[in-house]
Amino acid sequence: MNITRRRFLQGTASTFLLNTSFFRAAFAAGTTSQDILVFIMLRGGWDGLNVVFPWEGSDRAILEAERPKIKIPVTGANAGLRLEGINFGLHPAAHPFYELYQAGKLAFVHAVGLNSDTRSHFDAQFYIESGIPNRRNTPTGWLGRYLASQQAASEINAVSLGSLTPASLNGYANAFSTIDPNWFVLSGRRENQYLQRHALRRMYGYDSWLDQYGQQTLNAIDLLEGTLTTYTPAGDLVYPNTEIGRRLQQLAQLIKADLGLTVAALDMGGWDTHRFQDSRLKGQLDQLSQAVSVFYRDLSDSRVTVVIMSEFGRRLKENSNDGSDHGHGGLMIVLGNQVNGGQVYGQWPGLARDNLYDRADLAVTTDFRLVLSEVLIQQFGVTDIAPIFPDYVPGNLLGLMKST
Amino acid sequence: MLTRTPRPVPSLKAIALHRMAFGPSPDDLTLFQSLGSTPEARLRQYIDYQLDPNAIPDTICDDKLALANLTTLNKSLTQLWQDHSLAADALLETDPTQEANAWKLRIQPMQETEKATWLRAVYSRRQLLEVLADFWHNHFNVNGDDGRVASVFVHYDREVIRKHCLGNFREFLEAVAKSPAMLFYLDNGINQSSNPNENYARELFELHTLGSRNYLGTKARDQVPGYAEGNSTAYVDGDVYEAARCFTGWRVAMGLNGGANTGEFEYYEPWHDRFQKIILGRALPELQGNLKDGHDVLDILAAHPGTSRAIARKLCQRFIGENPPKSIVDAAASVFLQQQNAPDQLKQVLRTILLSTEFKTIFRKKMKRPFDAVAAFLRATEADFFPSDQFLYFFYRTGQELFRWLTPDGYPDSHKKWGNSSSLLERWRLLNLVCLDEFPEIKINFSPAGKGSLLTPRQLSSYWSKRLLGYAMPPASLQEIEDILAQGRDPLRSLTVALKQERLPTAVALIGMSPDFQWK
Repeated sequence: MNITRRRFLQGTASTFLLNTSFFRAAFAAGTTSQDILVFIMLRGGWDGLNVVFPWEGSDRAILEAERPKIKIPVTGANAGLRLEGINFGLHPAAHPFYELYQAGKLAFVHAVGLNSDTRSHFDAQFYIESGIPNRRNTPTGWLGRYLASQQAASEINAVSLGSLTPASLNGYANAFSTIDPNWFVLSGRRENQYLQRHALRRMYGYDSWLDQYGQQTLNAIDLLEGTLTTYTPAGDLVYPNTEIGRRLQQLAQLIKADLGLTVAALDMGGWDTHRFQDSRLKGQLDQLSQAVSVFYRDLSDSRVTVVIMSEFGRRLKENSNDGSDHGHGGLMIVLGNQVNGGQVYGQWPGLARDNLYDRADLAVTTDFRLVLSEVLIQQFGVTDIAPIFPDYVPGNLLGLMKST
Repeated sequence: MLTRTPRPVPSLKAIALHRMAFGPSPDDLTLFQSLGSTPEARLRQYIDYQLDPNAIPDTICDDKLALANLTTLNKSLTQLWQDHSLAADALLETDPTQEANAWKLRIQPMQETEKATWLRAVYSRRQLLEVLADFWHNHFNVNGDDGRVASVFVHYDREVIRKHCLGNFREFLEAVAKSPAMLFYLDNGINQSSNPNENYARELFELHTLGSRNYLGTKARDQVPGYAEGNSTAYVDGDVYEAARCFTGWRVAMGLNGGANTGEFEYYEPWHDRFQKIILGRALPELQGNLKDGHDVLDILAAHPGTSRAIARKLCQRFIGENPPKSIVDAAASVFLQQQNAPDQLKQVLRTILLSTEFKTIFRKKMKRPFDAVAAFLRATEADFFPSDQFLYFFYRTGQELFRWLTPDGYPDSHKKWGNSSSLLERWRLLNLVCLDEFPEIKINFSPAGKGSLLTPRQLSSYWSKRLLGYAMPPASLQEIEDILAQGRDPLRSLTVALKQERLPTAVALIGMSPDFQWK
């Protein structure tokens, strides 16, 4: 039962738009020279084995035996898209990713993930976003630690699109969150808003955690005041009217407004396909790949790199409800002009039983931190990974990023 | 940044009303004062009073609910099933163009529960019950956006959550396990021996009882301490799969296999895996028959010390503050365990928490979530309130739309998640809109009876801040409220009626935005 719900947008919302008198000078459409990292966390454990999957040979035979119902076929109307020259295919609903892959902008990393035996969504997401596996009480996130390790920023340089702070930005003061940067105001008459803002600045002018949140909010209001105009994507591009589509459009708008943002975090839920996987995974991949593709093309001249991952993959053997259960090794995507795209990176361990994790799941042969480290080292000038991923020493880089 | 000078915790009255209730209202403040001759005595009385919600008359709230004409609230499960789930199906089948209307019909029970919950949070005198209902709805989260869950939501709220808030945890677990809402939401309704589905079993262990602190991942079962004695101290994936087998055949009566189509719980023996199982080291023999396997799992989990600690910690986190001291968590867990057969087990656990030194002496270790903050504001201002669609839209923007959290862990309860600019801005904005009269169905009387003589910025700021907080606002913050009313003129000089009308809403909203108002 895939009943979608309708969102009811109030017409009256627009009456509260402040008639701001100050607008930033028109920004160039599609260009920014800032290195920007966009981290998209897919929540639920996306089924990497159905997004990028073996095309032929013994692994294919195993896949077909273990996934009679939910496998992606290699022939027929619903066939996957063969990735040239390698033994992998791509889910057909992800064809916008295919195009980016063919254009050399998108790289896959397979059999990558978290070296922890947890199959709990919440633990696994936390270990990944906090960047320290198997520890429950890490107060900071990996993105926040990266930002803190660079020159101390006094200005906001990170954003999360959503209502809840993602753990990847835990504890980082120079970030803001928003669900709607175009309307980031207190509402009411402008003079009263100013009076309130000034009062709040003093009321929250102390050093407790609550004061910090208040300051962040006021800083974000200041940052966004009068900076955003009605947004027109580059060319004829139209962002899909889905939550991920809207958020990526907002992000593109924020990036082009040249506010000094270098990191963005967003998430997308709904990937926990225990049931009805065929239709649900297709729908999810449609939404994700379309939105991300428009986003990339909207910023096609930029140095924006997108990393997409999930907390774990899903079990090789399908379950009996036309779905799949929690697994282990999974799939990551890295996309952007700084990426050596058009390849599947990682060390594919194969699907033979002896090479599976717990005799059930795709193994993890590449630690997710290697991929994140490589992006940070090659594009973002990080020389010492230790403050960001303590107790982790990256092995040989995969070569998926161009060295700058 | 200035350092906050450590402040003493506010009065017991204020602490009680911010944590056992959604926030103080003028009536509550008066009532509390009348309950005894010392603050300690009043608190004890107030706790006893609130722990017996059925004895509290609630006419104002009942009247508000009646006026709201929420016809699904009193429907039985079978009526809900008939009138909303089956009726929506039928409507769609006869006329596929009626999709929008069918959907409205299908989700009406959930939407009415949402409205009722808002009205109760603001108007009910049984505030502790409301706070607990909020807590347990999050603990046993189901997603109201799922049409199947939405149709039976009234039953879930009334017969499962509210009925067991102060009762016995083992009974609570069973009511949840058998509820159509949970059977749909976590797929146990299709869990059968030939097609097992582990979704509910996993969350039963990870979220409803033991928690992931007691999870040892993919370790082998016999490697867990206590296994050999039949008393594993922690769970592993193997226990989850085994438990899934125990719940096979627990489903919703929806006319399957020629059975009844009532929406009620149904046990279907042919789907049940009847062979032996081992749960946390305890062997359950084969062929127990008729629900016994599932009952045994619930028995084991409800009686497990790990569960008592997990539940105790969550309750202390909600009622006291984040990272609650071990002393009170242990005390609460101990009562939970000792009283595991008592019909009022959870009431006793609550009593232990509320009467503790920790409850009385810890404050500002927690911030209000959006629902807490907005409900508190509406209560303290005694707003004439109805949760219109427009209001609910602006509340949705805060990120805590009731009953719409997607995953079984429920809305988080930590400032690490809610302490961000989106959450704060959207709630601040909502308070402004309420005060500025932007919602036709919500009105605040800024000139309450008997307070017409309050006219100076000093008087007004003092009165309204005390009313919203339930205690005296610290001088630095209070100054800001006074200043925004005085706007440069003498704060001891009366404002004209016109100026008061113009400035007071902004000032009162500002109190609601202050750090003092966000703390619990």
